[in-house]
Amino acid sequence: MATQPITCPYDVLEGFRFYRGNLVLDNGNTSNPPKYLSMKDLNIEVDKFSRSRVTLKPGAYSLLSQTDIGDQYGYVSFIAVKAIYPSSTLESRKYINWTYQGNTNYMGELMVLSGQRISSSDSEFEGWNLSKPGTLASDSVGNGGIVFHNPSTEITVKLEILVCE
Amino acid sequence: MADSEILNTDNFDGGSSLQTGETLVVGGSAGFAITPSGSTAGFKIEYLNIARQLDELEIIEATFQRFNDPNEIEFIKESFDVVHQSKTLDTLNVVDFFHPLQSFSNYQKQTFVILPRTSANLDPSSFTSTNGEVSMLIARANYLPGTPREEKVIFWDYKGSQRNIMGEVMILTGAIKEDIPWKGWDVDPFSTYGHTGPANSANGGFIFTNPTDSEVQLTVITAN
Repeated sequence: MATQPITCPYDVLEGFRFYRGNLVLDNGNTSNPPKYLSMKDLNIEVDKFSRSRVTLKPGAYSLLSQTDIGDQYGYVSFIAVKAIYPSSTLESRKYINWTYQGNTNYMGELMVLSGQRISSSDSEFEGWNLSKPGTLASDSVGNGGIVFHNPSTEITVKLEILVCE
Repeated sequence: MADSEILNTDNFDGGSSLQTGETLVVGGSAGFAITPSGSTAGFKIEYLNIARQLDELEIIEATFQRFNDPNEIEFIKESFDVVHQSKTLDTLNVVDFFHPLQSFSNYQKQTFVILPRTSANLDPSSFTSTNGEVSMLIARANYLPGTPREEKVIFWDYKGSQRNIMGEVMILTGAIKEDIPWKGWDVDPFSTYGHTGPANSANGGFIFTNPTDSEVQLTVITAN
């Protein structure tokens, strides 16, 4: 009978991770790593939520659009995205692009955005608009939705997404 | 009339639970189903609405007081959970998240108190090994107790060209390489990495602005 492979319980590399409700700096040598930020008191009231999974093949694009989850203008108050890369991926290759209202930025393994829609000084809205492009009058400001793009020509990236309003 | 007779014949809930064959509630009983007109959704309601003992009245009150409790996002152990009262409705597990500190890495924790209608610049620290880029930025905003949900918001401006918002938490990540600009977040607004030249937000950097009438405490951890 085959035996289960022996795996090391800790990565010996030092780094930040979440542990028991805190962001800690773990060096793998202690069961009580130093805490840098408490997340235990996070408490965000939401009405609706949506959970989805996306597979981004090399070079693929994916539009995150949750018109039915957002408020009457399509805005949501919480977006969390986790990206899962193949285990052999180099750290410098663990990234995808995300484009929101014309601005393109990067994300590695995790992204969390939050905040209620707010009116800015020019009477337009600021926030996270995930309405389907072109479906709401508010789209005159700029199309809603976030476009994720996997720029790699080799690896497939899986996304787990939680959206709340 | 004796008290025991009152209990047996005039049940306060419209039907006796102590005797069979007594008053039926109009419109529904265990004998036939209520079928309202129109469509119904597939939901399940769990509550108690018949008190047989005095202390059960408190259970009924609690049931209806908490029935409209909102869903909430909480961070429990190593995951973002959507919870309703004691039930977890959904979860995004981040137990696998790991930001390694490499041979060239640095990190910094900053805490500001941003006064009403003022701004604070994120300190660029000394992420010179990655040309000012970080691959992890985690921010937590703590608002005064009682702050309404719609007022829990601050702006963050990046590179002087884009303005976004955050409520109570923000996590941004990316990828970095030693000695060259790569795919991270540029937190350095200076034109020279020795910080001898003038600062210009178009070069990089984060500016947090508190648009509300109350002060906000903001904690930011950056790492490359």
